[in-house]
Amino acid sequence: MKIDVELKNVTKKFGDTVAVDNISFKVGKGEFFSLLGPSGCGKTTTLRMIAGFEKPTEGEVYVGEELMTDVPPFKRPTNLVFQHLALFPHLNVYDNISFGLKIKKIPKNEIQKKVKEMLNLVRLSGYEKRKIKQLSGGEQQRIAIVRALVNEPTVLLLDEPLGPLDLKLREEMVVELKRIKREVGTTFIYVTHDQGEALTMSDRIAVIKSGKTLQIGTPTEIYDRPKSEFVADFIGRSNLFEGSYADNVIEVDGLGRIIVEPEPHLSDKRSVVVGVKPEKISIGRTLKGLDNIFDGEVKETYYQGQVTTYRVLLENDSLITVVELSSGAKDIFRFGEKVKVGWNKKDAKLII
Amino acid sequence: MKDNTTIGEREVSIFRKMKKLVYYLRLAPGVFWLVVFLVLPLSAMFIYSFWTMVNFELIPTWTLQNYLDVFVRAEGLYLKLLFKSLGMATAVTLGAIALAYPAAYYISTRGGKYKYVLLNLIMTPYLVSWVITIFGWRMVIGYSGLVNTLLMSVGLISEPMKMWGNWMTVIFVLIVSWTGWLVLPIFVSLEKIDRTLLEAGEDLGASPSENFRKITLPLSMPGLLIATFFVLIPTFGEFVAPILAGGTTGAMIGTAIESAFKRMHDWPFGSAMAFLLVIIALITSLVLIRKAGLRTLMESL
Repeated sequence: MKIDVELKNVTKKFGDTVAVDNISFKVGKGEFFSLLGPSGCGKTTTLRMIAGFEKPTEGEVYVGEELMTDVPPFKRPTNLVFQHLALFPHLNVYDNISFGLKIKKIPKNEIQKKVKEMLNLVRLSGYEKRKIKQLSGGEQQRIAIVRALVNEPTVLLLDEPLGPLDLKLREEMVVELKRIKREVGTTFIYVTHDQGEALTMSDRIAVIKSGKTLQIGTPTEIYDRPKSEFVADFIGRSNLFEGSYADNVIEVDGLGRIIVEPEPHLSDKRSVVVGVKPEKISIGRTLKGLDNIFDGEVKETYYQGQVTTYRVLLENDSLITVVELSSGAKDIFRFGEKVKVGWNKKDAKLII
Repeated sequence: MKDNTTIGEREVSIFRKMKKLVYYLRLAPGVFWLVVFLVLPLSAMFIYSFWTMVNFELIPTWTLQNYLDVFVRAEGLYLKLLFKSLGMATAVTLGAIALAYPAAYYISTRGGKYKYVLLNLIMTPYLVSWVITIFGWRMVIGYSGLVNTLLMSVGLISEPMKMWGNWMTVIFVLIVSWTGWLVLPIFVSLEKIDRTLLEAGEDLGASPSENFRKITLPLSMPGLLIATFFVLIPTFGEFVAPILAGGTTGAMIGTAIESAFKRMHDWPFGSAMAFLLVIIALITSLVLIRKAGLRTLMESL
């Protein structure tokens, strides 16, 4: 596979603070690659180093297999969709989209053709003469994306572009982005703190925390086989239990034994963490046929229509999250109710 | 029942009238200010401009002769003066902007935490009366001023250069006296530019100079228009600088108005010239306000 972007041992320091700490990854041609992490984790700084707005303190950045570390942004084959879009307020839609092409001195008729194609791509045909102020949030979003895409960059960088939108619009834009990606085929690097967005759109995800990549993998790998507590908690908000492992059983202080699938290469008495996704946990007044069943008390109930989310206090004083599909037949448990919670051993994932 | 309704309606209508009255009363101080300090003197001038002056006596007549005189008297001297003033005011505006823009740009982009210190430093000299500033410059570039003395003492020139007392001196003095004021509106408009727009430009392939031409300059246009507004209009009617630094070639229309009132004692003719000036200033203001927008103008004041 051809590599479009590669970071080799990249570190970025701002004074004494280390924003990015020895990150390395490769992004293949045509890949949708996400940098996922909480705010302040260094994901935006990483993206800005690829775009050229920040210079790595150490390490190398390659774009299209060329060393780019010292190349200024205006000479890089990358284009960035800014978090707050940064559309030019004094220019109309046409002049915004054609900005980069005009600088490259591309003939006018060709520019017109390309702008038209781009507006078609985002279904905003005929918007050429509109002012930026006259566009809705979602329309501005699309213009910002094609203003970058029209330059046919080797890689399109997106810095949380859906952040300022409301929930419904964000969901629409996720679908739209996937479609645009499919149609143009350009390599995308997408920065987000929203695990839902990352899981839905990406081919691969790099989970970043405190400037380090914790795990790089496909959405299913990251979701199903998180390699660290942080990833497990951040992606899918797993409930985590820590205990010592012995013979397919984890002994958790104050709670009891959690039965897990056998893990042959784990030595006994080793301290491990096990994660259980909220949607894998059943809740009820009585529970049967599950490998692990514990007593609990309902502390919070959020009825959300499709699902109901509970916070349940277990005997070891830990609060776990349980998400259950709502259906008419099921009771909704209220604050203070004594309940049973349980899950099968295959749903308890060991995080090593 | 019917009576009650009528009373109710009447009360409502009185209440509405009161509300309207209160609304107009709130405008009163502003209206009063405008009438006393602007409309009254302008009206007096407007009326005078149709009168005639015979043997130092004002005769109330209704004639357009004074306005006609502006164009024809002294073989069109006054008309020429009008155009010359416009030209000089334009030169002053362009010169002052050319000096103020780089200063404002530097403070805005490189000033960092010293931005406001630098702005204040630029403004401080303007606390001195402007007439004193002119005399100060006379000491520097006047006939026996600093520059001439220095150049003569090192032998670069054998006799003093005549830098003081012509139309160029007037332009120079006006430029230096306006530059500091212009830094402010230009600075404000530069500060309002979102810096990520420049990053976006750079990302799209624009070099720093292309970025300046395509983003910074157009987005700072409101500040430039306001700066133009600030300088062009007062400079057009300027009479202090031409009198103090203009010598024989530096006269402007303001000087002519001043002498029409004070030396020729021809108040109607002076009024006609002044009124023409007001009209030209008004039109220019309207054009500039339309372009820049009243809000931007008010914000940077």
